[in-house]
Amino acid sequence: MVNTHDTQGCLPLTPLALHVLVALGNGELHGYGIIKDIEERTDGGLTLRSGTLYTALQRLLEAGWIEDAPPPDAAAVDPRRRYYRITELGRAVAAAESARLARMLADARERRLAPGDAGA
Amino acid sequence: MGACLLAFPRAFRLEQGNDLRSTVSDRIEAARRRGGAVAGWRAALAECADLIACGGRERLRPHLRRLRPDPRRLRRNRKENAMDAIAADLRFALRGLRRRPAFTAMVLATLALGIGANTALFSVLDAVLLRPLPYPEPERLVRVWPSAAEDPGSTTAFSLPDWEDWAQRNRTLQAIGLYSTTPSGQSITTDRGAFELETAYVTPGFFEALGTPPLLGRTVEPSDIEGDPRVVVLSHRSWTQRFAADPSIVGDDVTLKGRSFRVVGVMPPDFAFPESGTEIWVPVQVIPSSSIPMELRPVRFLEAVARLAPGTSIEQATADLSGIARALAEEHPDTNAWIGGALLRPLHATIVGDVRTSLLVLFAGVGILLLIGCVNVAHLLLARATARRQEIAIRGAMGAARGRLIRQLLTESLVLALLGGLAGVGLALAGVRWLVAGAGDLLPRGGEVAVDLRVLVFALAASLVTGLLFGLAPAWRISRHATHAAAGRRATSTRGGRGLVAFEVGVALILLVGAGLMVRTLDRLYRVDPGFDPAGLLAVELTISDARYPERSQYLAFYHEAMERFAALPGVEEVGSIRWLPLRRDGETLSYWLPDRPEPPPGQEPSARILQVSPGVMRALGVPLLEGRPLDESDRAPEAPVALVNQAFAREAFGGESPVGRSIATGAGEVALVGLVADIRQRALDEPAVPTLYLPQALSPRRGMTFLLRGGVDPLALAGDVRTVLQEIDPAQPITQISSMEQIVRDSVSRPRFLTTLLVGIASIALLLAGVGVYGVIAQQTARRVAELGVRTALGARRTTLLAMVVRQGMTPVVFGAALGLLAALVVTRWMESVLFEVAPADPATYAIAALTLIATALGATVIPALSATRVDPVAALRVDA
Repeated sequence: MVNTHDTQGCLPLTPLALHVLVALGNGELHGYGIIKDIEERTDGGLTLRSGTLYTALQRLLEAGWIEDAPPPDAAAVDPRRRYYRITELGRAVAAAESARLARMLADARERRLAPGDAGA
Repeated sequence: MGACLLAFPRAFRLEQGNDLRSTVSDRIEAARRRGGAVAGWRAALAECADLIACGGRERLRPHLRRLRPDPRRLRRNRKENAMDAIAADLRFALRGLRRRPAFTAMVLATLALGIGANTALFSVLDAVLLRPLPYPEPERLVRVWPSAAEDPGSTTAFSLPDWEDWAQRNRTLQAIGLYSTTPSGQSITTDRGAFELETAYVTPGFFEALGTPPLLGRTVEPSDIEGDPRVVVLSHRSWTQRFAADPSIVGDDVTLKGRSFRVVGVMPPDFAFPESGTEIWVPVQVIPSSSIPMELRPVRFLEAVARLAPGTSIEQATADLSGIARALAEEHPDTNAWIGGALLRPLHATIVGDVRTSLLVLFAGVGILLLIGCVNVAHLLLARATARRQEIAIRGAMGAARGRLIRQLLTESLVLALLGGLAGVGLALAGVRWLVAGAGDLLPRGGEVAVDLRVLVFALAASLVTGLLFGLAPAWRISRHATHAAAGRRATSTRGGRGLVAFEVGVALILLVGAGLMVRTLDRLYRVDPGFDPAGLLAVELTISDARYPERSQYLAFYHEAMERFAALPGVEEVGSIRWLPLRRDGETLSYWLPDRPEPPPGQEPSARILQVSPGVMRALGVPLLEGRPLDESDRAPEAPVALVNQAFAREAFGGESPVGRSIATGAGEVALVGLVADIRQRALDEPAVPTLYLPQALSPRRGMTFLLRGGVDPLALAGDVRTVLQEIDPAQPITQISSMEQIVRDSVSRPRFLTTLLVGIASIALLLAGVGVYGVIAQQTARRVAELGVRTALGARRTTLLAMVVRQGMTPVVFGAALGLLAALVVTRWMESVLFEVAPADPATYAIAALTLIATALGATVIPALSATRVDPVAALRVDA
């Protein structure tokens, strides 16, 4: 199924796009949730401004990599909130980008440019 | 914050706006929780900047995509190339601004302040002065006064018989109606208790002239007068606030002054005449003939508003109405002999007349502020341009056309101006609210002020003009650099800096002089001796209810009891009462003549004002009795009326001789003058006393009365006791107002004070900006001369000599600009004459102080960079590459 999408033409992703896709990997989130997730995963190393995030979300929506999702908990719904989830295409793109990065990381390790290669 | 979202295209806002907005506020809130208010503000600022930047990028995206090298798109027509170039310029400009945050912040702050102040003031000016009144075809609305034949400026009010004749005989008016207001309101009783409503008494023709149809029901009609006049029209505000906007109220009865009135209509929200706070309109005929004998022709107490017939000019109507006045003068020589003319003025002019000058002065002030801001920004851009000379020269040498270079630099200026304008609109939104709240009742039509599309268009235009103003000169200069540098020549750039300094010093000085004149005016007003002692004086205003106290003796008893019980309160030293409080309003007019001289022809008697007072009121007010005796409780015999007079009366009636023991003749008989008191300012602090008679209230009591209580350092501490006493006497009698006399004195100068505060604020910012501007120019100039100064030091020049030289060269344009500014101020401040008091527009002291303040500021701004430049080690200085 994954291979039915032509993902290679989209690569490489911008770091922000990949971050957003990864953030949505665990399920649907709203914009602020995405920012919090990215900040937590990078230990605050990447602080996003809202405008930047939403322009990126707009790009991803247009590309069909993410889509609108119903709110996860119907009881605690704030009508202003908009939730996003990753699409199949988005998963495929993220997987392709991750594979590309993994190859890149392997190459870097081999040439002793990456951490974790101290024993080699 | 919301305004920042406007940077995004509409489609984007529709799709993402709500979620984006809540995310932004969540993030700011999170930052505030983590790091306190400062962190919150910092996050807010960063979010705003990001929103504007991303929004701009989002808008440009379709163009930017086209800029990407794409082999299929390399061939394009010229027009699209131009679009691409503009987009590239924009992108380049935004990138350049982001790279220099300090510069950008400084420029944006200056522009936001200037454009914001102008936008806020424009919205006020637009609503008050420019926009037509909220009535149909408002240009046909006029105020009308009967006037003296030979002197149209000397006017009087209308009586009902006069009005009936004018209304029937004229051929130039579509409608004419009368109105009168009572400053103390009506008490109205409903099932929700008693409260006071600001009331206008009107005749048929009043609503017809103004032309606004009622929201519900009808207005006052002629049939009301012939039948039962007890009908009431509600304002939109009283309808919503007092009657819960209940549409079924029309046709219901309410109790007004103890009598039942039928509600016949409700007016729409923007109908606010004659006062912005008028809450109800009732036919003037409901006033009982026993209190005002309205059927008499000489009883003139009503104002008139009229609508000109279509196609009629004010001049035609004036001629027509003057003819009627002349005819009436012949028909009724005993009452109308002196009224042989008519005065008509456009309604709009009579409403905004007072504030017109103040608003224009303020608008000029913020205009100057923006000019100074422009000059500073222009200089900052020039300084940056000098730094970028090399880059520009290279681009010129590579073949960039001069026009193309200028366009790129102008794009940057316009981007700055538009961003500054956006921030300025934000400031204006807050500023307008503050202005209108601060001005309160001082601003006619204040309720109509709003930041709307017209105002936004003004802000946009102001931003564009501003951007061109501060952008054109640097752009021109820098592109000339480019061509000069390409030709291997060096350009000098100190002359432009000096010109800018002279200009901004000059215009700042105009503003300082204007603010100085207002400060002097206010100071003069505060120093006016009102003739009474406001300290420690409490004023209690009320209007006695005529349903509960129909008879004179009843309300006199009320006054008497209240005053006796006030006098018994602990801490109260003196008690008195007076019809109208000083600085609130003048008394009624009384014609009199001297019994020992021939009686003057009717209508030509001298006139004085009369105020009804209680015994003891002069002691309470602290007004000295100069001659004779004060009034006392025994002065109540109607067959032997007595009065006190003021000095102005003694001067006019008796040429300064003692009035005590003499008497005057009035329509109601002779009045014996028993005492002479000092003048007090009754009408306003800036108006000297007019001839005034003080009559014992026991002789001619009025329903409106102000009690004066003298006692203690803080008279307001008595307010609670006063309320208790009045409640005990009659819980259903409303109190209009309790205030300290000092507050009333302060309130009476609130308009000049408000203008002064604003003008001083604007002038202070202008002074600061001018100082920053001078500093910037001098700092840049001395920085360029470090090597030269080093050489001079090495050759033995003393530091003080060098300092003097730098300061002298720096101050030359300042002094030059100040001199020009003084001359300009002489011309400009003449417009302010009508808002000044006891200060000439060319007041030398004000000019001197303003000039010295400005020069001292400029000197400070010059000495600081000069000191640091001359402190340079000559050896180090010589190593600097000149």
